Amino acid sequence: MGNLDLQPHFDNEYRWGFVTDIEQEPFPQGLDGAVIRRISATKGEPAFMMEWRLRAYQHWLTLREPTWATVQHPPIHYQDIYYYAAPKTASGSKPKSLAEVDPQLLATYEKLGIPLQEREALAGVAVDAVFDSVSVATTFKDKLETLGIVFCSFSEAVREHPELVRQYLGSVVPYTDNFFASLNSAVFSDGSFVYVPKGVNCPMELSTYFRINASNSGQFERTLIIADEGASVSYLEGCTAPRRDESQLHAAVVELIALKDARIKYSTVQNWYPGDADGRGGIFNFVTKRGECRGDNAHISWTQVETGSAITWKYPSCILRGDNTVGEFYSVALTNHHQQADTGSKMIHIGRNTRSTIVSKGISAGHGSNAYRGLVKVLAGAENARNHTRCDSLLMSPDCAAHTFPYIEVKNPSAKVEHEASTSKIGEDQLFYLRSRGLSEEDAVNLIVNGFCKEVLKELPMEFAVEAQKLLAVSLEGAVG
Amino acid sequence: MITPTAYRDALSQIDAPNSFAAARQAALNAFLKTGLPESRQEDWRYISLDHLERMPLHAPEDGLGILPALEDYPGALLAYLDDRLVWQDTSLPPRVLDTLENAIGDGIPAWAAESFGSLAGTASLTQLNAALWREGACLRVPAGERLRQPVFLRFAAAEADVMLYPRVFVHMAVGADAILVEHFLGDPSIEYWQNPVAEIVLEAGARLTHLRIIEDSNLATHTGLSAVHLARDSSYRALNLTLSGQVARHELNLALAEAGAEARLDGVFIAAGRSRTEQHLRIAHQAPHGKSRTHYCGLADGRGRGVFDARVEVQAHADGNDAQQTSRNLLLSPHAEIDAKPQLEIYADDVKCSHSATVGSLDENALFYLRSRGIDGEHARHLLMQAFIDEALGLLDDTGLRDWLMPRLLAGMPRVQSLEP
Repeated sequence: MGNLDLQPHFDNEYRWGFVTDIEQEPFPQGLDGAVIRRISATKGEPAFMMEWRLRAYQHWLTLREPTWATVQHPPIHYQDIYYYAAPKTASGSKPKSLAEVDPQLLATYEKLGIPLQEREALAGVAVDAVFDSVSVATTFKDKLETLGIVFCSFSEAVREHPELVRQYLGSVVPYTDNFFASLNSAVFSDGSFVYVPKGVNCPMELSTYFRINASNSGQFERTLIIADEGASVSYLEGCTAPRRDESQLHAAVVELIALKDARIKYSTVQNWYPGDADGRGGIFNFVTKRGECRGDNAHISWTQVETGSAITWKYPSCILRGDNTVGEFYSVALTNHHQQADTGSKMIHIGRNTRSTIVSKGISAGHGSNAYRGLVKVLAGAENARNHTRCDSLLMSPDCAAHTFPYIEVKNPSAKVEHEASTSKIGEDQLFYLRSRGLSEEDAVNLIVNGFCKEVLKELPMEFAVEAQKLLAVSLEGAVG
Repeated sequence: MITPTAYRDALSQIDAPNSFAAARQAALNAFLKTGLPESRQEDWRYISLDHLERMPLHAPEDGLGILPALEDYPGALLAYLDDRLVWQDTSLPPRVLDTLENAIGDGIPAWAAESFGSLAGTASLTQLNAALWREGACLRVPAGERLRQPVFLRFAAAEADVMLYPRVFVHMAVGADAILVEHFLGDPSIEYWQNPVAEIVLEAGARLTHLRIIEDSNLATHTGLSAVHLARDSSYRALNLTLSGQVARHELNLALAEAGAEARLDGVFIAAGRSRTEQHLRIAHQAPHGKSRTHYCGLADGRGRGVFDARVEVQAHADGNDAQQTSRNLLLSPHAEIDAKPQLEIYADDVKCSHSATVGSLDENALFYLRSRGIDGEHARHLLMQAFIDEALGLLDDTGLRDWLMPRLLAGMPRVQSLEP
């Protein structure tokens, strides 16, 4: 894609910096160059950002929606979507109080033990008094700043640290990467930005404290995390509580960059609204997540617990470019009712002595469909690469489906690549054993599911592991018996 | 590129009964509409057939080829040269073993009506075979009968740039039992393209052991399909050996269509030199209580590329199925490549399915052990490779064909010298 096609867009009357009272004027439906320029201008972005967005948009126009995933959904009408939903204009459709919220959702909060105020925010209730996290946030922020760690919203980073954004944005997931990544690059609204300077160990789990504030970052979220040489950071995205959202399409992009000796741990608990028991509604979650171990000895680890969304399409990946780098992927994906998940990981071994591990646990219940799709690629120069992949599926109903689509491509004879997968029903004899010891059927199932997922859950930060266990139990309610 | 004329000429040379002429024409039209498979298609992502477009391919001309020396075949034999039956050595009556042309005559007989032409499906290369096959072979084993000797079908190529479409139809009646060996080979100095199709029907309780050996010229292209239909309690055991060829691809479509069917699929593929081989398996468990075991061993040497692409499907409510799949691969040179794609697609819950795939090189410890016992390095590597593929060769003992087959298998193994770094 050259810059040629873009000139007319720059020449248009609407330039960034041209200030208008945006809040008064709702964004139109659909997507064109003008909408993108307006998004960029609204956010006060520098020229390079708008150029990048427009290039992404031009490229997106040449792409077609991918159809290879084993998911089925009604066609998405991209021109019917509001690409920039200002929070204020959307309040009309929000419930006024918890009394108007789906009682089932409330029951779930109750079971997960979510604090009352959090429940309001999560349910999308238009609350005036914002949850007290702001002051907490400020305290943490001070502490991080003294260490030189930049942790802010993406928009803020574009304004405050344009040089970092410019250097790293799109360097792992270019705007040409795939249909949804291109769309995200053109219209992303906000997200998180983390930069950990050389040699600094980030002393706390990032984002754990602002789990609610983050919910406003919208449907096209963009996250960029950079760990400079010798730095380390652990980042947690999402939360266990089911989150209601009006917009059905979510297309996020996450880029991780680990320089020499750096370490990034990225944990996700995804529980977007999965639709009702008959498969109506629910979020379509099309996410591109990729990390690059750019320097030697870097380490990137992805852990995810996916229980939400009507459709999950997501392949957190690692490019192991430096020598002795390590990539890890641990995943639990649970589909119940009519949920569909197509998820997995790519491990691209480029450097020498690179190692990767993939552990994927799929649980299918109801009419749920769960697919592992992954690629392990060892390039010719990747001496002594090692990969171990394990995919297990647990089937809990006669109508569910579980698939495994691994791709293994090895071009170096010193590589050792192992893949194993199994699919089986939840064991009748295990259930019987537990029930004969006095456990209820539901408790027995939960125990078995937790055992099945143990390898993954132990990778989560402590408090989230506990919540994730509860979440699995709640998500599986009514799946057995 | 190959002009449609080449295919049309080939069709015009075929003297088919009127009853089949229209079907052949329709199949050719279907092929011409889609053309050769492209690497954009998921099933063809690792193997390209673009080189065929650059070859002056044509239908075989009668009597040009010279029959390569016939080896000793321990059983009944039909030997084909450039798609013509040139030699037979069999005491089986024609109602059991004959050319396909003779067996089906002017119209499809009742015993083949359900499967002939439909079992193989409608992929473009299959359509091309349906349009252009000649003579072919047909094996019909009557109910309850067991053939005492293996049946060998030898498909040889002798003319340069020829395109060949061997077609085989096998019908195993209720409780029948037989051993079938398909052997593909050709003049090692010529380029040619073999595009065979075999349709195999096993009725209730029938048993077939099927060896399929690709030993084509290293300049040849082989794109074969075997489609197998298993009825209640039938059993299909196969050993697929791919020993040579510039491009050698074998697609095996297996339908365990009724309860209690069993399949065991073993294979060895060797990709040396610049050759590319692909083993493409589709195993559909369509009924309850099916069982399948797959064990393939791959060796890639030189600049060879070996691909194992297998999918097990368990359809909805096909309960009590048990499917296991193993793909083990050795990379023997820094320029070789192995791609493995072992897939499971499961729509039922009461199943036991697993697969495993490994890619690695020879175990240095084992090599050291052998060398410390006085076995030289080359010999030690050879022994280890032999042991590696031997896991997939169990059927040789069951069929008594080990002595016949091992020499050609060992000859096809990567040369030991090339293993030294």
